Amino acid sequence: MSSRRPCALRLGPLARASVIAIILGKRQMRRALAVPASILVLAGTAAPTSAQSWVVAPASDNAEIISQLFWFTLVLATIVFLLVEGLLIYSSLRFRRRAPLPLREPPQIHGNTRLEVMWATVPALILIGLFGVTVTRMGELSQLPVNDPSTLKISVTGRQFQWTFGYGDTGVTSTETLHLPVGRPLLFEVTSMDVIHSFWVPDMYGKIDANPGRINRITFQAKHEGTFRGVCAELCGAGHGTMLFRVEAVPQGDFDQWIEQQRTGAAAPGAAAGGEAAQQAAPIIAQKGCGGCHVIPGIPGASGTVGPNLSGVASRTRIAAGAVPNNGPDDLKRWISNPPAVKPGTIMPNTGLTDAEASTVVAFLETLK
Amino acid sequence: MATTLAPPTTARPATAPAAPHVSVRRGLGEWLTTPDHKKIGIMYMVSTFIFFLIGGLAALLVRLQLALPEAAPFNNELYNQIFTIHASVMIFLFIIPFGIGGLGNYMVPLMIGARDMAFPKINALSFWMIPPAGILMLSGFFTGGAADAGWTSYPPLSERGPFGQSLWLVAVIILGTSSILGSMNFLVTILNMRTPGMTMHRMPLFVWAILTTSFIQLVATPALAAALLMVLADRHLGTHFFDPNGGGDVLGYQHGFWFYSHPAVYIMILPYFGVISETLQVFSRKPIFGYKAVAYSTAAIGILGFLVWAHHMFTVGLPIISQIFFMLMTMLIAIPTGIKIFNWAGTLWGGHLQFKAPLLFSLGFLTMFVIGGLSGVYSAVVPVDYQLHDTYFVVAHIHYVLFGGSVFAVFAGIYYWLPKVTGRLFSESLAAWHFWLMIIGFNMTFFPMHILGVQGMQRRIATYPIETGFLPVNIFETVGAFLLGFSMLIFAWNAIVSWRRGIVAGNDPWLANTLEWLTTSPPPAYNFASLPRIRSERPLRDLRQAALSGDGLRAQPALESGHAMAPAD
Repeated sequence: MSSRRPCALRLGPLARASVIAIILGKRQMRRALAVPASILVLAGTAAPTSAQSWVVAPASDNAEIISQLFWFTLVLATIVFLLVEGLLIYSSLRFRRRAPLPLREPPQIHGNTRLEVMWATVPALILIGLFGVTVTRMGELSQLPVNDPSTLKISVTGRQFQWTFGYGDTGVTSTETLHLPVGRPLLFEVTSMDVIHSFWVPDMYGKIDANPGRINRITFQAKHEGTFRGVCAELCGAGHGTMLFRVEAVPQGDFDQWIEQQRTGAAAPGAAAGGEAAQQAAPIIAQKGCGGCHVIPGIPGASGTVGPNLSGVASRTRIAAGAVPNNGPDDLKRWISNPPAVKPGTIMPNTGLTDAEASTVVAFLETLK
Repeated sequence: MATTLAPPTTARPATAPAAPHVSVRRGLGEWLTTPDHKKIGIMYMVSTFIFFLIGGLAALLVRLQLALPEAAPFNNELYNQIFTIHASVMIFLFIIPFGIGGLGNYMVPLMIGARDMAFPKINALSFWMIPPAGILMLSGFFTGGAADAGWTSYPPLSERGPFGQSLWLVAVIILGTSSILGSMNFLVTILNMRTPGMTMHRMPLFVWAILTTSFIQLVATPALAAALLMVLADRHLGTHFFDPNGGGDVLGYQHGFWFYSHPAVYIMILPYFGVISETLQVFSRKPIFGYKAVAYSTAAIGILGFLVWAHHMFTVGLPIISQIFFMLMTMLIAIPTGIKIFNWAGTLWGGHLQFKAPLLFSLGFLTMFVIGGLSGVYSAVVPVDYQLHDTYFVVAHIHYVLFGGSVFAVFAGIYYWLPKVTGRLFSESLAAWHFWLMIIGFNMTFFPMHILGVQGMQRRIATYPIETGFLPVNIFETVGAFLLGFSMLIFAWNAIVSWRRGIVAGNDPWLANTLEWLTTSPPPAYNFASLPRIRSERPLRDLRQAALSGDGLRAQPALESGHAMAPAD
């Protein structure tokens, strides 16, 4: 992979800068070098420490193209950064004069046409190179696999403040989790029901805006299995920062199995739920109409698709599209007792559960592991 | 040249001593009614600086929130209002009006040897639109919620916001009107009222910058007003310009907004480029390297700036060919900017650099702006922008350009011209403290944002899950932000104390080049009693050279008859 080389490149100049500082040893030299040197240290540690980041571990074919372009730009920019900052800092220190100023003025140089031409054309050539490389790679990125029969179309619909995903013509949808088969061309059709959102899985691809009244299409293929972070990247109101989702990339077989379970209503985790907890909770759930928005295993007729499918809800570390931590029954109870207070702007209403009712429902939900 | 040698302006007193000050009003009444460009300039600078402090306070609140993601001091609605007001105040009420309205108003007539602006009363009108508009924008907090859709205010979100959003729209339209009036005034003043001998190629580069900025403002601002009026109409008149349910298109606004707001980035930086072009000459004791290259690259940026707006929209789903076009134009505009940087470095090269406050801040500007320029290249590479757009990388970029760039140059300009405006010198050591704390605090606050952006932290979020690992870096940044805020207190203290009790500066404490230093500090109401004929872009240096080349008595006639000046060195 291309991620190693640039790191080495960036450490070289850093070492050189430190050596210069030590050799010259002048106080002002050290002081002046402190700023760019610390910048380099930070830049050097930036990417490698974030093991998950798309720049070192892109999780899709197209994220890999973007990552390569990023490193290419980084190398160019670092070279230019060192040359220009070096020139500025060197001339600042080299030509510093302490009071009293010399009587004579320094040579009054008004310019130099040859130099002007040089520093107009050299950056222009660098930028043309960068432009050419980028345009070439953009061609690969923007080719939508519309004619490929193996393509899976996924509809992505944003609304304040959650995402809904629809899978091809299966009729299956999900809200909190985006399920992806590994190694298959994916075509995302992205839109919004209200304001502008932006669909972004940092490890998989750049973001694309979800515009109401328009459909944007992007494509990528998941490279390997894993769980990834998905977010809304365009300010969409009070719940913007909590409009999150989880991406589960699984082998094709597992994906097909999941789709089949969704279609037949036999969701795997908690499918066999029932027993005492379910019997106690069922009347409350029916009375509050939870099933109108949620699929709830073990509760007949609970097949709504507005909210997330609750199978396995007790095993999730975060609920409410990632907005709320879920570290046990207390968190779940706090959430269902008054959702708008926990996640401002959520469409899940406060159903006015009493404390006892909430405890009963949570006791049941905790069985959905 | 030692300061003990023949203070140049003694060659011939430029101003009549103790001229009778003709004024019918005194005190507050005079400030409220004055058409004097200098008083208007001071009012611009003081009032926009107050808005800078308000915007800075909002920034600290934003940083506080982000350091406490799971115990947030503000609820999400209030947080959205705070960062919207932070950006709007900083951009529309500080960076733009301070440079062109404040420094431009005070300095341009002095620098071109005019007695006032072409239309003094329109000038007063354009200032007096600013405070009401600012109060209108902020008053949203008392009407059930200020604007909360970001400074870009994209519909449909901005069409759903609280009433404060409507106040925001009206306020920005008023500010735009003020800009249009001001820029027209500057264009007429600069093109028609230069003193004899000051050709376009002998104008100070700051005046070139204001000329170009005025042109941009005049052409671009109406597009903003149109876009904002359409949002206002959608909100209150039942139209559907940006409502897809009524046949509108949400992207129409973005094109209108960025057709103004990208050129506006140059409105926010070009005047400060002009400041740097002045200070570097004075404090290196050299002429600008490549006068025409600097002047024409300013003009080139002014024109190319109108052809790059959609680089803010690479993720909205534009056709690939448009994305490629706007990427190309964005890369092209880096070339004139690079030319400026190299010419400024050439100006430093071989000079006698005096590390006074204006030069310190100018060097801070140069080193920080280079970082902002380079981070812009990442965002110009379209696929990389797919990743970086709307993340903290972009927040870092905009702050390296507008804070590391513009605000450092704001202080270079303030320290450079403060002795002219107040007539008094400030403390250099306090200014140095201000500089070092500011540059350290600034880099602590904003450099790590590049990293957060690459790691995938979206901008404008009120909270983030702890598992993302963003917390330690955010705490570090918040510490930096408070250091940055503290450095501003040092500046405020220094400015106020020097204004009241500083050492008297005299006409020209820096041995500067341009005409504003010929007159007294502060200048009289009529600016100049008499002016030399202009022979070069550095008339004050010409006077000093004439005084040195022969005896002082002959200096002025020699200058006026156009005899050759003594060669340098």
